[in-house]
Amino acid sequence: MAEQTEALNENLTEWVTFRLADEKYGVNVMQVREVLKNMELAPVPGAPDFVMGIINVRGNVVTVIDTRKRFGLPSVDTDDATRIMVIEEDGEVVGMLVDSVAEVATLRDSEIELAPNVGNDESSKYIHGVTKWNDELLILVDLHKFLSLADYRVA
Amino acid sequence: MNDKDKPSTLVEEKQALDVYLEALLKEAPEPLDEQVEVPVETPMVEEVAEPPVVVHAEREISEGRPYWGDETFQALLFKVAGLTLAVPLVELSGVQELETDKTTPMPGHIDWYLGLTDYRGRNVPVVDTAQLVLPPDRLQMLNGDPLERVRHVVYIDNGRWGLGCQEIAEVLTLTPEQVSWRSSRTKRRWLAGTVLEQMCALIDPPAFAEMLETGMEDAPDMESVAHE
Repeated sequence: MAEQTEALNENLTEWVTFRLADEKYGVNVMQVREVLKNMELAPVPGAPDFVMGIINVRGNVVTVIDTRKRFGLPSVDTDDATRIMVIEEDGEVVGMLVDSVAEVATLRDSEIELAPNVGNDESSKYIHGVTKWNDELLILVDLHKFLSLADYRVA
Repeated sequence: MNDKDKPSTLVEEKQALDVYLEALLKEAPEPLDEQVEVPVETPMVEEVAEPPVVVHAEREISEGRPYWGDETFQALLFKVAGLTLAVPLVELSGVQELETDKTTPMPGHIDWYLGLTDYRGRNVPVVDTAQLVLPPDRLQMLNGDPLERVRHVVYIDNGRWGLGCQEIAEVLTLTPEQVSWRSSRTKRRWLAGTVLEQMCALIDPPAFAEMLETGMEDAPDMESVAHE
């Protein structure tokens, strides 16, 4: 009984899941503004290599980053499943190019396992945690840290 | 073809490893011995106030011979890229085959961090041990995807870390006298000593775990190896 009450009181969070290569990742649904089909990007000369370009979303210019590149994964050609997740973090709006967007996962705090620190690897610091979801590991990305580490702004 | 032009042989490889093991044994003592000989003028109380490194609260990291080396002990041998390592059974949490399809790499990870794998229901980080212990000249010979090289995982630190290896060998019973213990450890703190009879390096698991967690000294420079 006490366990049930505890489970009911537990904080729930929702995560939009997306795929990159063979892995599934999640970002907090509260930070996802919209998901767009892949569209033509206007390149930005002089921008960091992981900045793919900019798009116009209803009159607003949004920088699109190559999430694969930021995650150290090999690049692939875009296809029909490719999506741009438009996210908002700290007042900044950024597009993340991902292989596909899957679903929304609702997770209890207790289901999220904090990712271990490995060495002083900066990149592992933007992993909020991991959890089992539909029999596979879901890697939860801390967008606040991810974007503060990635200097995506186009001057 | 001139003999000199022949490619490197296995004998040379073995010699290189012998040299490496000898170097592992010899390197540390000199500077620390000098420090020990400095007359102690400070009161005993002050000695306590200078720990060598920040140590994980739960781990007891030995400076000289670890506690398990005081008496006869057993150690499991395992191989990484031609080098034999030994882990004392008292500090061994388990061994399992690496299931690559159940190992999830983390985004932007450093080369030696292979990813998280399921071990008894927990997601445990697995590392490519070879990249952490081999000398630089042998590291260059490691080609290809580490996940294709690593076949087994040796778990240490209460199952919190997995050391990827190619082969699990036998269990040895060793007396303290069979091991050339390192009297002090300034570099490669994970190395407790070497067993010359088996030509293997005996690791101190708590120190190895601390290196993995903090990225101190031995771990290859994260910035230089991180994926861009």
